[in-house]
Amino acid sequence: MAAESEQRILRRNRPGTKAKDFYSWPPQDFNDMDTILAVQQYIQYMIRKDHTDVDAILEPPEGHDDLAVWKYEHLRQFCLELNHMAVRLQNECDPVICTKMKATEQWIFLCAAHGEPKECSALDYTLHTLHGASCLLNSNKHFDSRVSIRESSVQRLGSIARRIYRIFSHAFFHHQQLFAEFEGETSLCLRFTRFVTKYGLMSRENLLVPIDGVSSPVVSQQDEGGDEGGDEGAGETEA
Amino acid sequence: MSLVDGGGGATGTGRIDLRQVLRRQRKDSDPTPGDAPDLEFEYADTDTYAHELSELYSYSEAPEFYTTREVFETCLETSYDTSCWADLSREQQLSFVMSLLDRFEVVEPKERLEAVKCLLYLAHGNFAPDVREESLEPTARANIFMMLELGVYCATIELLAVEMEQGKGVYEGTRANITIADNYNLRMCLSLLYVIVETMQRGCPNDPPDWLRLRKSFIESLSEPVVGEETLTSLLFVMLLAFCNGTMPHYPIKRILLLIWKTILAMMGGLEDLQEIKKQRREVVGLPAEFPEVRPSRPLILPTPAFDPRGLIDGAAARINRGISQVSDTDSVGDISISGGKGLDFRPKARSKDVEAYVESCRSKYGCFETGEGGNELVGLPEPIQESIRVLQQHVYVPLSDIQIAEEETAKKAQACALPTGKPAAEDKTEDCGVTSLTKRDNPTESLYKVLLPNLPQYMIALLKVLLAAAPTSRARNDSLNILGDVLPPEAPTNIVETTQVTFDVNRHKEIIVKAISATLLLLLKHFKVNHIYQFEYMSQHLVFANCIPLVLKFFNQNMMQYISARNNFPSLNFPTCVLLPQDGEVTLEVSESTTTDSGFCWRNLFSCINLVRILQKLTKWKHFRTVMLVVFRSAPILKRALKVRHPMMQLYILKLLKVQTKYLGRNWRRSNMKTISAIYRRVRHHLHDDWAYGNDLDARPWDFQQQEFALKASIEYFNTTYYSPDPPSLTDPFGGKLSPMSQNYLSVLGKHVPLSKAWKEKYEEWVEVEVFQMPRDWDKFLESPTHYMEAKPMDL
Repeated sequence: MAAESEQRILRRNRPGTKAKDFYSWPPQDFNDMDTILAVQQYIQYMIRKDHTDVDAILEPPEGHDDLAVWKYEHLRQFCLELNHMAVRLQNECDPVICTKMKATEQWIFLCAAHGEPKECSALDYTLHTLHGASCLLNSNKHFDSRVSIRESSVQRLGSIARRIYRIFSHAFFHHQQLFAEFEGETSLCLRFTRFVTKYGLMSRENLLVPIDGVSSPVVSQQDEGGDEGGDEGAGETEA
Repeated sequence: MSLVDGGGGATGTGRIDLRQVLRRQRKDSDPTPGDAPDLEFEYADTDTYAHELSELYSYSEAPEFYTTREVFETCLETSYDTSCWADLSREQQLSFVMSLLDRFEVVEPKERLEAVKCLLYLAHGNFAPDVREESLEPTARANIFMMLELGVYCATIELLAVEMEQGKGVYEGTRANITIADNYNLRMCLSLLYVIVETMQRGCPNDPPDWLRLRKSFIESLSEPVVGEETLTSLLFVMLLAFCNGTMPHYPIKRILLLIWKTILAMMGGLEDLQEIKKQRREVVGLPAEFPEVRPSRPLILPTPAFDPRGLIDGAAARINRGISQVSDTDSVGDISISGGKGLDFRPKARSKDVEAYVESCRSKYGCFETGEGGNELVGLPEPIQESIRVLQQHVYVPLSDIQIAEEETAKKAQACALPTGKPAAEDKTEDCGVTSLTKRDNPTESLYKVLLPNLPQYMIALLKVLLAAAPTSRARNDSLNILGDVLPPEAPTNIVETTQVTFDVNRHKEIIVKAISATLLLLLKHFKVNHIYQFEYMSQHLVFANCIPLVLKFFNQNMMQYISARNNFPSLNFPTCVLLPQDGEVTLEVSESTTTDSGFCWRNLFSCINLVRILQKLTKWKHFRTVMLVVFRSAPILKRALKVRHPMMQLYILKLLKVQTKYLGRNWRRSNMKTISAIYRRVRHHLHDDWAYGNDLDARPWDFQQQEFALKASIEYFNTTYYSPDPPSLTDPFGGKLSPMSQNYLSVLGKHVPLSKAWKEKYEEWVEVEVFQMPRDWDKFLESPTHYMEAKPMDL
C-alpha cells in the first residue's frame, strides 16, 4: 500500500461528473483490489476496456480460483446490463403484439417469477425475470456472501441463465433491429453465449440465437432470416 | 379366548385348580407346536433400496414404465441420432439433461411431462429388457448425481409447485372415481423427487469425493427453502392438508407420504445418527453417554416353574412350552446356582424421583424427620439404609429430558425476575449450554420444528386420518378419505386375474401407506425427543388429542399373525423385475411365487407394527394419565394377542405397554396371566422401587389426569411462545396486567404521587414541627444503616 499512501486514488464518480467522463480513473490490478467486490470491479473494468473482447472478459484473473463466485458475478453483471435492453424493449415490445414469451414457434415459456407461474407477455416476462433474478442473486438466504457460494446455490445459476437467455432469443427473433443495435453497442449476447457454453450452464440445443458459431435452430421462423455468424440482422421486427 | 376382564377363573368352587390354571396358561401361549423360530427380521430405518423403489409404484402403474422409456428414446433420437445413453459423451449427456430442464418451464403441460418422464427414466438407471438388475443401481446413482449437479432437484420442486395447483376445484367434492389417470403429472414429479431423495439418503462408501460433497450439500439443502419460503417438507405437508380437507382429493397420497418420510429421514438421519446425536447431547450437559450395562457378576435367580419350593407342580408341567421366553430349556429342578448367561440381560435402572421419594420416606420412617423436599442428603439415617440408598444411586439413570425440563424451569423463574428486555432470560446466557441455547441451535431438527410448528396439530390430524383410512380393520364409511386415488386403474377390471390383481394392489397400497405414516411419526417423535423434550411433548400431545391411542389399538385389534404374513405381492410386477422381463402383456396368477420369497413374513407389515407399538409406548411412557387411557380402552387383550408375533423387539414393546398397565388391571388378571407377567419380568428392564406388579395404589384419582395433561400443555405453550413466537413475549401476569420490577430510582420514587388524607393536610405543620425539627435524628447513622433507624416509633396522628 506504500504506493498509494502518498496519493490515494479514489475511484469514484463524483456528483456532477458528466456521463462521458464516468469511470475515468487509472486501472488497478486485480490482486491489488482490497475489497470483497473485487470480482465485480474487475469484470466491469474489463467490459469498459473492450466489450468485444469477450474471451478476455470471461477469463478469470490470476489469483482468483473460485469458479462459483466467478460465475455468480458474471451472471449478476448480465442482469445489470440486460436492464438496458429491457428499457429499449419497453418502447417496442408491446404486450398486445407479443402476447406470449416465445422465441421460435416451438415453445412458449412460463414466467417463473410469480408464486404460481403464469403465461406472461414477453415484456412482462422480461421485466419479471430480471427482477426475479436480481432478487434471487441478492437474497441472503441463498447467496449470503460475495466471496463464497454454497453448493446448493450454485445449482440455481443454471436455471437463472436459462430464463435470462430467453430474453435474448425473443429479442432476436421478434425485435431484430433493436437486438442488432444493442448487440453492436455491448456484445452482450455474444458474451452470454460464450459464457454459458464455457461454464456449462446451458446446453447448445437451447441456444437459439445464431451467434458465435451456434447454428440456427431446426424449427425457426422462415421470415426472420437468422444468418450464421452474423450479429447484424437486416430483418424486420415482427408485425 | 381372552381371559382378562376378571379372569374367567375358578368357577365358584373357591379352590384354585392348578391344572385349570396351567391349561389356561397353555392356551394363553403360542399355539404353534414346539419352539417355532423367531422371525428373522432386523429392524432398520428402511427396507432395501430395491424394495423401497418397488413400493413406490402400484401394480396398475406398471405399463407406465414403458412409456417413460419410449419417450426417452424418442427424445434422444431427435437430438443425437442414437437411442443408447451410453453412446453419448459426458458433455452430450449434460447437454441433454439441461435441454430437458429448459422444457420444465414451457406452457404446454405435455411438453413438461415428457421432460419429467425422460429424467425419471434416467433416474431409474436406463432399464431395458436386456439390462442386468445389478447394473441398474450404480447407473441410476451416477445419473442422479449428474442430475443433481445440474439443478434438477430445484427445478422439479418448482414444477411440483406448478402441478400442485392444477386441478383446483375440478375434483373438489367428487367422492369416487378418482383413478390413476387423474394424477398422472403429479405422480411423475413426485416419483422423480422420491427416487432422488431415496438414492441420496443412502450413503455409499465407494462414492468419489465430489459425490460425497454433493450428497452433503443436498442433505443440507433439504432444510432450506426451495420455492419461496417453503421447504420441500412444508410443501408436502401443505399437499397433505389439502388432500385431507377435500380440496384436492386427487393427490397421490401414498407418494406424498413416502416422500415426506424419506425427506425427513434424509434430513435428520436414521437410527444410528440418532444414537450419536443423543450421546453428544448428553455429554454436553455432563451426563454419561449411555447407561452402563455391566452385567452383574452373580446372575439374579429366575423364578422358573421348575424351581418350585412348594412342590405343587409335577414334572410334566414343568416343561411348559415357554415359547415367549428367551431362557433355555435346561432348567433342572433344584439347581439354583446357575452360571452366567442365565441371568436377566439388563441392569435395572432407577429414576431420580423414585430415589428421592424413597429417601424422604426413609427419613420419616427411620429418622423421624422430614425435609419436605427430597434431595439426597443421607444424614441422620441408619447405616444399612444409607448403604441401600447408595446402591440405588448407582443405578440412577438421568434422562436428558430431566435436564431440559429443569433448565426450562430455571429459565422461567429467571425470566420472572429479569428486567423486561423483551427477550427470555435464557437467551442472555452467554455460555453455550446445549440445552437452553435453542435459539442458537442450527440443526435440521430445529429447522423442521420451526417449519411444522404453526400447523402441527392439523398435520397430526391429517396423518392420523389417512392412517385410519388405510388401517386394515376400518370399514369404508361415507366420510372417510378416499386413499385409492393413486392405485385404481382407469378401466375397471374385466376378468378374474385383473380383479385379483387390483385387490392385491389395493391391499398393498394400504400397507405401504401405514408403513410410511408409522415410520414418519416414530422418526419425528424420536428426533424431537432428543432435540428438546417439549418439542416431543407438543407433538405427542397433539397426537393424543387426535385419538392416536385408540387408533393404534384399533389397528392391533386384528389377527396379527395374518397381517404379518400377508402376501399382497406379485413379484413379477414389482419394479424393477417388471421392466427387465420381456414385455408380454400378460399377468399370470402365480400364487406359487409366495413360497419362494422368504422367511414367512411381510417386511413392511412387521415394520409398521413395530413402529406403531413403539409410538404407543413413547406416548404413554411415564405418564399415568395416558396409561389409564390404555386401560380404559381395554388394550390388554389386544396387546396380548399381538404377543403371538414371534419377534423379540415387537414383543418387548408390547410387554412394556402391558407392564405399565398391570397395576390397573386387577388381581384376577394378574393371577390368570402369570406367563405374561413372567415374560415381562424377564424381558423388560426393571426399575428399582417401581411396584408395577403389585397394584397398591389402584384407584389413582382419575380427575387428576386431566389436570396433569393441562399442566403439561401449559408448559409446552410457554416453551413454544418463548422460543418460537414471532413477537418476543413480554412479562405478563395471569390477570393480564403488565408486571415490572419495583423501581428503586430515587427520583422516580420521589416523583410518585402519594395521596394524602384530609386530616394530614390540615395538620401537617404540627407533625413537621414535632417529628422533624424537635426530634433529634442522627442522619448520618440513617445513611449508614437504615434498619437501625426504623426502630424509632413514629408518631401517629
